Amino acid sequence: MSTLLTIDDLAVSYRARGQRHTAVDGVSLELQRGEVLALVGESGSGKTTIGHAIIGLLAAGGRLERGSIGLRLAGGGLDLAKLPARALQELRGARIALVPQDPGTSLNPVRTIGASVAAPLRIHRWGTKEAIRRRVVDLLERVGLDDPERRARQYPHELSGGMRQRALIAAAVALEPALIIADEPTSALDVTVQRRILDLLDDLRTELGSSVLLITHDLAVAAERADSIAVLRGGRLEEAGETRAVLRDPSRDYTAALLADAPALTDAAPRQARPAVEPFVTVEGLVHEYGKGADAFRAVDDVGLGIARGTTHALVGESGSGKTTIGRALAGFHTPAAGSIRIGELDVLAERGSRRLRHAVQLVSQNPYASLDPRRSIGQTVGEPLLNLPLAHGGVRDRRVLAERVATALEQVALPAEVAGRLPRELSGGQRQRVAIARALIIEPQAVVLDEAVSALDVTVQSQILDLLERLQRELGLTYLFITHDLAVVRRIADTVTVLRGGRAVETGTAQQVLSSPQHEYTRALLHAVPSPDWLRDARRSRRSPHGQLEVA
Amino acid sequence: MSASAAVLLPRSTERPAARRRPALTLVLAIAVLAVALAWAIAPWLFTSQDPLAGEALNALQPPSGAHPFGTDATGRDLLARVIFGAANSLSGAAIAVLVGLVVGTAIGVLAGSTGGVAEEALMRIVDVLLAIPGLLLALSVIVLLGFGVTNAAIAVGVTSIAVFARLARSQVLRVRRSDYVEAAFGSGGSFLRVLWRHVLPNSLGAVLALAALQFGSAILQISTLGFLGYGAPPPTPEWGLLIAESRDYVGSAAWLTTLPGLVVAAVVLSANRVASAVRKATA
Amino acid sequence: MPYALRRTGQAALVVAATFVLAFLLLHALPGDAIVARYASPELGLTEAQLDQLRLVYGTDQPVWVQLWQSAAGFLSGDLGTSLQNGAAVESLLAAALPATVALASLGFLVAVLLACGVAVAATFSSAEWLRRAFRSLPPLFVSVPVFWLGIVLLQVFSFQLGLIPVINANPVEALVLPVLTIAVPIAAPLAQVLIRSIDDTVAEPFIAVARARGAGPRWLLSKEVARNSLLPTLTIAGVLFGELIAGAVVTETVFARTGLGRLTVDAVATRDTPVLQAIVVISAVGFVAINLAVDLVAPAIDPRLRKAVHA
Repeated sequence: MSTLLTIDDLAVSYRARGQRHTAVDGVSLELQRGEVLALVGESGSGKTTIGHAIIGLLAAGGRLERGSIGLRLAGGGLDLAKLPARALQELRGARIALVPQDPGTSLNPVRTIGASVAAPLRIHRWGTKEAIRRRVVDLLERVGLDDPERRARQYPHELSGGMRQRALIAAAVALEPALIIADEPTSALDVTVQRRILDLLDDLRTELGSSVLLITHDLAVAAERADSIAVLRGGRLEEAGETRAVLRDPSRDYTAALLADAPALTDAAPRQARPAVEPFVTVEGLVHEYGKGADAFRAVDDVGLGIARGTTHALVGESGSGKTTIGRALAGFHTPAAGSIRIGELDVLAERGSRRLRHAVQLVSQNPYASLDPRRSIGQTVGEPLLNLPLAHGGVRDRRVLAERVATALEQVALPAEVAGRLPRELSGGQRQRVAIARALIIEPQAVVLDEAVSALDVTVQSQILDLLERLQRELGLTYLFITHDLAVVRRIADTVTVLRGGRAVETGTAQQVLSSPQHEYTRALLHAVPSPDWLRDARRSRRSPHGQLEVA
Repeated sequence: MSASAAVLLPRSTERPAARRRPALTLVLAIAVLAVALAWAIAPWLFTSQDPLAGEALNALQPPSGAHPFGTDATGRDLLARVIFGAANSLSGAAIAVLVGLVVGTAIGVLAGSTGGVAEEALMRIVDVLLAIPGLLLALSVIVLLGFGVTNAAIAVGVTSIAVFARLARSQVLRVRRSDYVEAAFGSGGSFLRVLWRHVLPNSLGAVLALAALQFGSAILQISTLGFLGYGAPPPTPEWGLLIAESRDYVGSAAWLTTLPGLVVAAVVLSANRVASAVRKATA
Repeated sequence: MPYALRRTGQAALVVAATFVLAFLLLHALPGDAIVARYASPELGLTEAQLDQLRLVYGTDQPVWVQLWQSAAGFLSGDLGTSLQNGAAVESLLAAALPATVALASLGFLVAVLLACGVAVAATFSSAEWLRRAFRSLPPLFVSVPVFWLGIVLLQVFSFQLGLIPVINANPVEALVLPVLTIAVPIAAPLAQVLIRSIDDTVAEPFIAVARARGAGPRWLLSKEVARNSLLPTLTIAGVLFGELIAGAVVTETVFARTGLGRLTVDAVATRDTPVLQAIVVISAVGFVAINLAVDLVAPAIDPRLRKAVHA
């Protein structure tokens, strides 16, 4: 085996707001020919910056401070860090290719798929126009697109996310590069699509003998796909080595914490089913359509579910499954075309967003950066519901009482009291999500709809928020409708589950039943698609301490 | 979904470094505006010359120590006329911006927050205002109201109503779609309360930035109307009129047009520079 | 209803509403145009003579009847009669139009070339100082009074350098400075919008992906950036048309040329409302037509809009 890529003592800095700060600091890595090296880390770890440094495309303000990036090609070795811009441009697309993160924005919207895939061939003058046209069709077929001739003539918006990512992979491998940098290649895709895309990348790598630098936040993906792994944190290398060796026996606390916090399907058994009682929240025959007439799209099709008081029901599904529509209907944000929703004695649809309903159910949405008014202090945001609600429904007008209630609410979500005076932009993502939860809980609702409430967070933060939600449920007897695409999170928090597909409930039951012995084929496909190699489960089981969390929020 | 990744772009949570030094151009721009404002408020502090009376013997003198901007055809000191003209030009621009800001923002906020038929009707009115080229609309209003500095200012203000209305509406719509406004409704907020507490404060930043930008453009437009002879009547010192009056001497007394024009350009440029700083600050 | 038809209907509605507004603004609201025009004491007209004039100009009728007559006239090509000299407005316009069209179209062409050149230089120059220099040009020229620019051009090129004769210039020479003057207020905002939309496009992830495929600046500009930046630029075409009209008014005044702009200035000075109304309505038609054309052409540039068109 021979080494393709040798990174030595790499340091990269960025200029922001007139100051330089270091994004990557003294990282050394090796990638063998024909192998996969996973760069793993949370946001801000510098993993993407390393990828960009290799391909010579640091974002504006970025600078290579020191170090070398050795690439050993057939013709001899090169130091990419010292190569003139022109020579590096010759290598890009030909010897080093990039599979980008978000297929939604990575294709030029006004050019056809064929033109985008042909771009590297035309840029590097691969052959005649006709030869390139034929090669593009071959490539599109190779990456598994049906009817490649037609796909080549289509525009990006006419293709699904998975198909777009296939087209981007076709463009990346067009010139059979020695090194493919895959930057979170599947994080914008549904889990079943993710598996197929990763399989395709694996096949192509074997076929072409290329090496892959896989940049990911998902430890399980790295465990399943990579020969070796490098764990990054805050721009520094925590540890690196053969994947199994590192994950079975991490030498660093941080790696161990990452392992412990990443929710996984194969952890300890899901919550035990509780004795069936009268459901507290009931949804029956829910139907909702978007659009009118011939263009109408049925987002939710005859869905029913029941949630017992003080339990968590998970709505699981991929994009377009209708899970968010159901959650928003339950929270009173829109009226479905048909069906009934009750929370205890309350008829949600009849209440039409009344104060009484707001007092009964609250919604926490996915994006903690968008859900807080940027101009209002945390204290104002958390206290606002009390000012809005009439006194009969838990409203508060007394300033001192208000301040006390805000302090209590912040304490409940484990935020220090002085946060009340800060603005949202001064808080991290995890802290903001705590604020959103505090705002939802301050009026003491009975039910909370959590719409992908932890999906935007790093795993260590995610784990803390899930712990918080569980604790609050125990203390306050809350009923949760937990909307997620992540089956591993379901296992962690849900009592009962409904699996949705295309607006229909394909399977429903206790988490135990659905996750351990799925009845529906789609549920099985979903479960199968979650990356979770057996050896990793064993490694995790043996290491799982009460909770090895790191304070990183 | 992992659109999360886009959300989780490394964001620094640290506060911006303690007061950064503002850009030199911004400091200069603020200085220019401050001088112009001082001219408008207390012109007599800056010149001892009379802007209206001149000595015929002194006519058409090139710039000198006694007359830094030279003198015009009737021997009046040009610098004095420029300094005394600031009041007309700046107050006119202020009136124009006020008209556009108040009327336009009211229309835009109303349209954006009510929706439905009211929104349709208001925005069609805005379409009509937008369809008439600005100068022609201003001239029509002047024909309606009559000539004069204030009328010219109102006319210029009318032309900017449509722009303010469009921006205000789009900002209100943007904020209304945001998660935090939904959360405010979700916590029991009434329509007016959410509008007042969340929608307006978050919408009006961009509108204020536009107001700053319009200030510069209003100075230009008022000076154009003055140049065409629809603003202040002679011998009132007004920047556009000053340049118009000197046109006959373009071959012999270049300073008469050049220097007042440079002053106008400097003030407008400064206003635009400040506007872009305001836009960045309120973004 | 097909998109094009619906959109055309919308445009017609705006034109009709603009007509009503212009009519109300210029005819009805000032009260009696005849009184405004002829009642000054020095003309010494008697009340009976004024009534006669009212009869001639139809201002004795109720407002809505006048509006209807005026609208019917516009539709049949009769734009009314000048209060100033009794000439038919359409013949006044026909006489003024060619000179202004020549000036405006040449000015527009020069402006587009200037703006594209500056925008590309401001975004794709290799040296940063060069990019900065070109970037600072549009804000500078946006801030310059157009009439002043015309006068300064005249001063420099005609009086100081003597390159272009002030009197007895041939038609081409006589056009050079006015075209430059009218081009600047078009080119500056156009360049600003172009630079901003190029900046926006360049920040898109697909540009980074194209660079990762080995694309150089020329490929990026011609294949990836140009078309994506065109659409946001086209949306200000209507606004530029308005600038062109304003530019014609100012330029024709500065250079003492005949044309639509001069006609406008004279109409305002003498409160000749029928002429002004005709100019306002025709300009609005031009503005609406340009925006309509942009909306109908847009799907050809951006395939994402084609779906919306069919829907």
